[in-house]
Amino acid sequence: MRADHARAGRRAHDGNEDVTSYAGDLVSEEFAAGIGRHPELFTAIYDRYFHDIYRYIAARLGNQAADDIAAETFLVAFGQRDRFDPGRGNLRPWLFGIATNLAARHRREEARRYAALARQRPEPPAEWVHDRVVDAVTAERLRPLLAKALAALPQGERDVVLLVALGQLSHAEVAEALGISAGTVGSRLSRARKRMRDAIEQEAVNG
Amino acid sequence: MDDDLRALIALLAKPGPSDDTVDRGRRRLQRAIREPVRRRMVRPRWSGWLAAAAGLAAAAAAVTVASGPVATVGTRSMPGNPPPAAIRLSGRQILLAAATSAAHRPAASGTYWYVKTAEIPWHSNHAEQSDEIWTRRDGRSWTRSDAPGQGVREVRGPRGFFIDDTTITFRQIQRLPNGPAALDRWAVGMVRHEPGVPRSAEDIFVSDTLMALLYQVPAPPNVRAAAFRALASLRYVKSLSPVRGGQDLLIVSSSGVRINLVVNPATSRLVRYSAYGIGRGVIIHKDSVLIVAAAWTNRLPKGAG
Repeated sequence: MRADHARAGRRAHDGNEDVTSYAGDLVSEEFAAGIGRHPELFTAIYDRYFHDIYRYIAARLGNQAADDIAAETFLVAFGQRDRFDPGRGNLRPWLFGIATNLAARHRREEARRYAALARQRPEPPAEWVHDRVVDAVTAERLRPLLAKALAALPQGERDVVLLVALGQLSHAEVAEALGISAGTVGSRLSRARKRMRDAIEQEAVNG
Repeated sequence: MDDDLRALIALLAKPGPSDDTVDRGRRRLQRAIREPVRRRMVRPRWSGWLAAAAGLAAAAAAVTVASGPVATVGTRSMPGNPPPAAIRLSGRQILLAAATSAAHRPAASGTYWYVKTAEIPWHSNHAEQSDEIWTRRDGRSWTRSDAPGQGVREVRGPRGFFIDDTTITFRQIQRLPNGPAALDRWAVGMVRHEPGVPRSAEDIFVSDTLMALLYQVPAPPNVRAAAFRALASLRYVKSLSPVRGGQDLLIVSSSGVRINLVVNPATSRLVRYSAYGIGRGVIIHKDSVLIVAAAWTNRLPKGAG
């Protein structure tokens, strides 16, 4: 993940040294005033956020879907730029909100992906030598449990969990992205956590 | 506190995008950015600030919203300044004079209807980015903007002349009503056909449509005259001052839409205008548009595709 970030930074630096920092600090008011005049600046927003949006979508729907949907997010955002209200939030939650809406249209694909992940049963390790092997095995064993638990969550709770965990959004940003209250974000997260913990522990116990 | 979730969900992580994927997405975006050039010239953009609906709606017709997105155009005199001493026509008389000039202007002709405009953003007084558009009677059009790296290119997409985001054919333009009331009804009909225009914002769009007839399309002389008369019949019309190119006028409709325009009453030329209105809780404004040229021409610039 860190390597991807570096690449995003380097890419945005090509040609215009200031683009990344400009886009990174791009305050919503500047956006509203600037993008209207110079729509080509929207590519700075693309450069700044594409990787983040891509990884979010890819984790939910896989790389192939992400190849299209991540780009789609920015096209939709550009088309809706006039509706972006700088007074109500920032670019990041706005973009993730759009990405989440697009992902919602591929609900079945997401469900299939979780189901496929849930079916993978890892081989027991030949040797338990390094900690790393143990970690890898733990990850291998947990992933299918996680996928199954996620798939079982209600859509609203799943969106909140994934925006926090994958999108790295704060609770306030999640509220902004989904158009819900901060309180709702908190309660959905607690419920989701409990459900996931119960589901994973249950599976682990039952083998 | 959410780190436990992040660690868990990290299990789902997939590889990031390839450089090729990033490039392809970027190119798609750039194509979309360059495409709808027309929109820049048309509708009052929804630059909306959610404002306290009650207070501002009440203030609609009366007050100049402080430090807000009012496009101050040129040497606009403040209300209360003494008028210049010479013979002064009222704002309404100026618009009616423009109507008469418009009706008497011989109908010109040519191959392309050429419009060149520049935008003056509300926060500055300098014209930024100009757009040019050449439209042929068959609806094909070419455009050039002074954004970096842009040449003259044919506009893809729906053919026709544009009034706002709606296409209109040359024949339809020639058949527009030439009475002000009928023209107003037509403009209302146009706006109501546009998806997504809230009723509370209709008025500003309707006046924008009437303005469009003055330069955006080759409207016949009587239609232009009718547009001026329709504007002259709005509730409040005030002549502010003579400015370079014409007379600075302020028009306020009964619903509180404020139009500021500069018109040359002798030639009926619309020089520049801006508008803003207050819909339900939202201030809508259109940046000041400077109309550099609106005329027939027989030639496209070199290098046109």
